[in-house]
Amino acid sequence: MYRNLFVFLCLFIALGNLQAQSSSIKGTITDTLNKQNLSNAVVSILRPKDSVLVKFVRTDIKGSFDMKQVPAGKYLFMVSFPNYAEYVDQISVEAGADNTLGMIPLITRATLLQEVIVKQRISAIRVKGDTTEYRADSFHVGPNADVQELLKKMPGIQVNSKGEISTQGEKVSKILVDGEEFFSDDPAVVTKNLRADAIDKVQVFDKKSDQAVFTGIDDGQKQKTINLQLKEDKKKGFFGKVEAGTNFDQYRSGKALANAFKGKRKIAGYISSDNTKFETLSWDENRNYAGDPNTTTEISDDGGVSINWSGDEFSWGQGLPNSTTAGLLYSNKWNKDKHASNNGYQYNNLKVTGKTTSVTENILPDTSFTNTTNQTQANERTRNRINSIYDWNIDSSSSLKVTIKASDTKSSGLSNYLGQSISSDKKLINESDRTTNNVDDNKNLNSSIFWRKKFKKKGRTISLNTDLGFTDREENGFLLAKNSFYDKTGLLIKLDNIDQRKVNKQNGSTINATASFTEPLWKNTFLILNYKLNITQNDAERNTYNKSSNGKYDLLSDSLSNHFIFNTLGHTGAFNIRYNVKKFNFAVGSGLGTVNYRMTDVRKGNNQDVRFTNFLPAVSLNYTPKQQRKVSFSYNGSTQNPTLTQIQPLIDNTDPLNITVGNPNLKQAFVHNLNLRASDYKVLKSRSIFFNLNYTATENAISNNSFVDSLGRRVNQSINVDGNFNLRGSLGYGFDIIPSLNFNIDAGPRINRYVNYVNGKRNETRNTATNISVNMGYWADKWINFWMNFDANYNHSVSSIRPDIATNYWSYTYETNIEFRFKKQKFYWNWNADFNLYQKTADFAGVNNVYLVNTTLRKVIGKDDKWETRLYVNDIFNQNLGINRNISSNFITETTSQNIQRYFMLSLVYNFSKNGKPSSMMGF
Amino acid sequence: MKQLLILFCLFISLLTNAQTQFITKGRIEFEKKMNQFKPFEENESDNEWMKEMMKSMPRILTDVYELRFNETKSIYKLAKENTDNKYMWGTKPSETDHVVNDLDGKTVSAQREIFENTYLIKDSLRNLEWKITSETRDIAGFECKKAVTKICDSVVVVAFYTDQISVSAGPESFGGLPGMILGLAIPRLYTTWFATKLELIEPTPAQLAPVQKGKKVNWNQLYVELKKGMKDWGKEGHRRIWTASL
Repeated sequence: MYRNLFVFLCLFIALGNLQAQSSSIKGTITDTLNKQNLSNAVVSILRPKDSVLVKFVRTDIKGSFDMKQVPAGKYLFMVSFPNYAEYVDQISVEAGADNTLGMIPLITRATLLQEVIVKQRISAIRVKGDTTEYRADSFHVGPNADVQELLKKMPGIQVNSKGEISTQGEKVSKILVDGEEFFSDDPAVVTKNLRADAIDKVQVFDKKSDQAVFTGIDDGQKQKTINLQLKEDKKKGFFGKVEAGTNFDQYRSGKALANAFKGKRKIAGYISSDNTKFETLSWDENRNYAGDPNTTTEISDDGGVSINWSGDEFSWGQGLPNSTTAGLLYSNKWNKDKHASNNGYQYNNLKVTGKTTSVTENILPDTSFTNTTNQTQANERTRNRINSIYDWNIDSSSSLKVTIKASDTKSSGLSNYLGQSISSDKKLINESDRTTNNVDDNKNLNSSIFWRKKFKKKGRTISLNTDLGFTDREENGFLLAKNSFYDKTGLLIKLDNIDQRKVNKQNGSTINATASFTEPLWKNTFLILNYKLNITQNDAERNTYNKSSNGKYDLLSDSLSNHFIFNTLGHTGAFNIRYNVKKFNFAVGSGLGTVNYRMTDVRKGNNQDVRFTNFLPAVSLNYTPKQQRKVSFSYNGSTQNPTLTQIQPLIDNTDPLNITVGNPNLKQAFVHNLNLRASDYKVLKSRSIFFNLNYTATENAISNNSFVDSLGRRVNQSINVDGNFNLRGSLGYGFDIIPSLNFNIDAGPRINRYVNYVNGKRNETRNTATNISVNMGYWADKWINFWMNFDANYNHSVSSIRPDIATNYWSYTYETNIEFRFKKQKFYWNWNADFNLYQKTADFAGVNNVYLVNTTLRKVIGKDDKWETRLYVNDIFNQNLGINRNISSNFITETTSQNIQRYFMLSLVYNFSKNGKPSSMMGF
Repeated sequence: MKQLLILFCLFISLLTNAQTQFITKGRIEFEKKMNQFKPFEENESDNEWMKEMMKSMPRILTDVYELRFNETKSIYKLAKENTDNKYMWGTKPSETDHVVNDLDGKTVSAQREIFENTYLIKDSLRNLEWKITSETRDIAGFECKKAVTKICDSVVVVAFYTDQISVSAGPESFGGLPGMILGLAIPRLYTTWFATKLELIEPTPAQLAPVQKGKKVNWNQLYVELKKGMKDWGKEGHRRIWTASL
């Protein structure tokens, strides 16, 4: 009992102590003038040192308040009530005491002195007036002057000793930077650019005037405001690099690149010479120094960016290259980036020598034979190219883009082909030895004008695009061939000797015009109308001359010479209806058009006309149930017209084992394409799942009808067939094993059926392939960084003409890249492996596997990391070959090309810069 | 128009009657404006992808939010989807997101969609240190005082509140001031919220008690989880975490 009492007492004392530390404040708020107690007034106490709110209460209906549990200490005591002047006082709250403040008087603002109001309520002052704008450059201030000094010089603006600014007799309550108030409150922005020489214009205006709207300033305010418009960045500088490497023997590479800029004006140039690779500039170098002539960027409606790289014929190939390239770039933007111009010139010279072997297995109804061709080639191509792009954002709703590209490519080449065909019973069928020697000059000019306008009505847009293209090509060549044909007993039964000169001239022009209009029909529904016009003209003259007895090529071969003019005129109209609601997106439409082909045989004086009707229906449905989760389905149908050369080919004897004849009865094909996709990506978990299914079926597909005669010559003709289809599916899954270590796997089948005719017999080739691919990458910025990709493909192919011969093989590709980084030592070691493996088959039993391994050691030296030395070893195992195996209908071809094998190269790189650095695509 | 009339009547009554009307319930419409380019212009001005992206998107995103409130509860959510807007990846406002401040129970419950996850944040009302200033400005016809605080240790938040609405709430989960917050600015997020109108309609109990679902977390658990998920995101990650913590 006593014990309990004791505990109780202790508790009581403790509670008492607690209460003693905090206390309450009481009082009543009244309007002394109107003799009225004010209810709902805010009574708050603030911490004196930083005026942080500690507590607040509102007065009750009688105007009295009781603020409880106030810790002892000194406070700022503040009372506020709408339209009354604030009451502020210092109070000291004593521990444990009830601090009664009694009656606290408030005075309405109307009774306060004018100056007090002005001082307290700067923001309430309103004056009407127009924007006054000052151009900063017209007022001379010292080189390091700040904005205040600049403002002092401006007539109509006064700055007093306290730094307060007034204009037209009124105080300025707000200073914006580039029209933004809060965005410039951030110290990072303010400290950056408030020197007088950074200011372009000073604008003075009132409230939200028309001018304010025009300048994009919308702060919801009605007060005297100064806006400091900053100058566009006028940074001047340059960057670049020089690189040279050698193996102290036949291999060398070197390049020099530089970019000088002033604000947005950029002048760049580069020169490179290399006999180890085709493409000498990296992706980033192309962007920074060459203006990226092969890349186009597209922006989709939903804000996605796609960057397309259209391959450049000079940047890839097989064989041993020797390339020289140079370029100049000038680009500029002006008038607030409304105008942009991009101009480039490029020079490319590429010499390639090489050997290529191709082995083709021909499966015929009753037999099969193998053709082997060894090609030796040496050629040289030189291209001069200019391109110029001008972008004009006329206003926020319309833009214009003009593109001009022109090029002149001269090439010359010498090729020798040695081929033979051997039957399945190992007997020689034919042999050919052919040498061609060509000089070619190809000139191209392409231009396009694109104009687009958005209207005020949401969803209404119009766009016009016109493409104009001209080509002019002249080829001059010689063909020297010896073709021998043998019968089953091995007896030579036919021998062709050809010694001819060929002169081909071709010039053409193309006009493509598209007009597109979108209109909102009703809420969430849009109509898209399209019209396309296509006009082309192509004038082709081919002359073949036989060698006459005097040794000159002056005997025109009538059968191999011709002159045709091809004209095409096409119109297509299309409509599309698109319906968008929150999670659904549905579109349906169709294109309908006609195309007329006219071929004029100038020599024979006759015309041939062909006319097709095009039909292009399309349906698509997208469903996005959640962020990063998507299901989409689409169907596209399209007519496919035969080309004129399929109807009426040009007779050519360059490859006497492959002869093409025309088919005037060719019909249009119709392609159905179905697509189903689903994907789900969990961002925070880094987990992705996707599924794709694509099915294409072709009615009246344009296929091939080939007759292989007893001499092993193939005569090809295009014909219509039914039953072609292609099915492709894949299912993928990806996740993070540990943070930054990503693993992805996907697998799927590929099934297709291809119908053709072989020696009059219908042949169905069924191809079934299964693909499994695994990739993994570790992207953390650590001492090691790697990615790998493994692809396995199983191929199975059977042709109905020979169901007994099935082609089955596995092929594998494996690529990996590992980088070790020793950042402190500035030392980097990179390994790159590229394996290509093909399972051996009866017909392809030679070297089928290539294990290509390269390594680079890189060390950055010098104080500013300006220098870099690099040791590169190409193809450590010395076995690089370009191998490619391909199955198409009843032919299976494997091509093996000579490539550069093992070498090492020691390079030195020097990077230089001032005020700038190259931009990087992988900037984030 | 009707709302304007209400506002006008309110004004007149405020000006003529010394016995000021205090508002304890209603619906406030906020205009949220965000400059979505600014962060990239400052940190990734050399990034070509971003430059291309910016060409197709609006610089300023404007969204309309509503705050319905009475003396004990407030709910803040998107009023209407703005179909003109194009948002950077994963920043599109969700229609189901909302924040409920229970002023009596001193708790907050907010539903937030962050990438693939939906979170239901349940915690006590935030205790922010508001620094009261003497600066004032008019927002939607109300005289507002400026107050400043910090969230997530360093992110400055500027608020403008009015005494005349005697409910301590505001946009997102902000509150705790002696009146309603009608203006909010977070410079580091390049975002502002300003009230554009007030309607004197009492929220229905159903409006104040929305259907809630999601993974239950408190502010700290959410912070830890997002930090783990956006570990390698750099400044972008910070911005997204701050936005999720509003």
